[in-house]
Amino acid sequence: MRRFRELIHNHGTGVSLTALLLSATLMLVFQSSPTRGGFGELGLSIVGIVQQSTAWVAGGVSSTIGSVSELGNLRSDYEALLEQLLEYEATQQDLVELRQELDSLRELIGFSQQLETRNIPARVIGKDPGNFFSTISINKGRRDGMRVDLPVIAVQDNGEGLVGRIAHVGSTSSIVRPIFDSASFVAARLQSSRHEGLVSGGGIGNNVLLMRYVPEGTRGEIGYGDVVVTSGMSEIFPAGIRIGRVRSISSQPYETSLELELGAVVDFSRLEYVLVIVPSDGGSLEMNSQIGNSYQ
Amino acid sequence: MIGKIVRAVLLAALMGILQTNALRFVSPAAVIPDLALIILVFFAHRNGSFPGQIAGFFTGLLLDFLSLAPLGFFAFIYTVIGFVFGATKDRIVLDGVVLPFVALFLATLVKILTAGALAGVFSIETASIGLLSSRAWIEIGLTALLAPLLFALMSMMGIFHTQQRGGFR
Repeated sequence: MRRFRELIHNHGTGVSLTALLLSATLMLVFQSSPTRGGFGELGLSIVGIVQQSTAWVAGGVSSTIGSVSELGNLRSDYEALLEQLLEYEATQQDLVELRQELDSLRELIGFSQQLETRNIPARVIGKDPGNFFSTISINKGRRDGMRVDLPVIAVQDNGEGLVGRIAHVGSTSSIVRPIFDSASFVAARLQSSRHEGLVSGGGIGNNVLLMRYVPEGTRGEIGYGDVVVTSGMSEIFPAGIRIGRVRSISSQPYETSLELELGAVVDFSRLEYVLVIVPSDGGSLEMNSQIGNSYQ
Repeated sequence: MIGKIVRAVLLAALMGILQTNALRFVSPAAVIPDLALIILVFFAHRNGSFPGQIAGFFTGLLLDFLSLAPLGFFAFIYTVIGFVFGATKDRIVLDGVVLPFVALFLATLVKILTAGALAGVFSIETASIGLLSSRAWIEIGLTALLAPLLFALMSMMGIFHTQQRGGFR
């Protein structure tokens, strides 16, 4: 015991460094389960509350900056009517933004009501704090019915598109793993030719999706711009959700399958609202195929 | 000392949270500077390795909660950085423009290299890490460029101020 105390006294920094690095390593080693357990959920719940507050403030600041920028342009064009126009344009800008937001929400609500499955609308409140991962945070958590692996879609340009799936859940916020993440895999099929494959993400900073394991003999039936949808072969994603469109087709001489490069249907850079699809009481996830086809 | 560590962790965590939303509006090429890292390096340099590594561990843990990173990933990286830059206390004076720039250039480099090593050892597929990517160098540049400004701000505000040892040495 005395030796131990002497060790701590003489090498406190080294001992604590070892202990901290060991703790971090043990956390990494025992990370094999898809969920983070109670500790991770507690942490996400706490920081999620602060994150929602800062997202609200950031949205306000961004809106203000947008208005100021617009006012600056007007000033150069209409110097004589500067004061009147400043006030008018500021009001108009706010109205335009409100109208756009209203349209966006109307579209979301309209689509939400069309879906046969139960779905929960959520707002995107943040992305990854660094540049290593492709995190998307939303403002709905366990108390809103969120669970790990629930599929997430978005409505853009009058059509739905797959965003990803819930990876971690806190009490008031959740983290979504987007389809362009390199650890994301989705069972998919070409909507017109019905051939199946596996869509994986191209990684952060590279919003390209890759569809692999499409039989090489089907090359003649695939064209540029063909829509790829979820096949429903996995338990996570229901069938018929649009994923992307074919951008290029390639194959290696020694391989028996094609590799299709897809452009995602969802524009992730302007993602504001998403819908989380919740299975019915029976636990099945089935999208209305008519809806899936109506936005081709 | 505990109060200072708590303050450093809270400030760095707030910066980390701002990085998830506010900074995304203004960042070029969707790459954001690591403000939490700047706070950590400043704190570690002013207070030494012991407080630096503890602040680094908890700051990293909070960033782990906000990210798809496995728990312990950022905790490990920031502990290492807190220790390394704490060792510069009383050896180097990080004032002016050049030295904070260099310090954060090196700190971000250490972060990316440590992240790459952890991703390799623990097979973390989600990590998109590499010094060859332009994203890595944009992050290094942005973080290093912002360092002198934040260092000056924190110095002026007296955050993490430590009394210099007096007397003969």
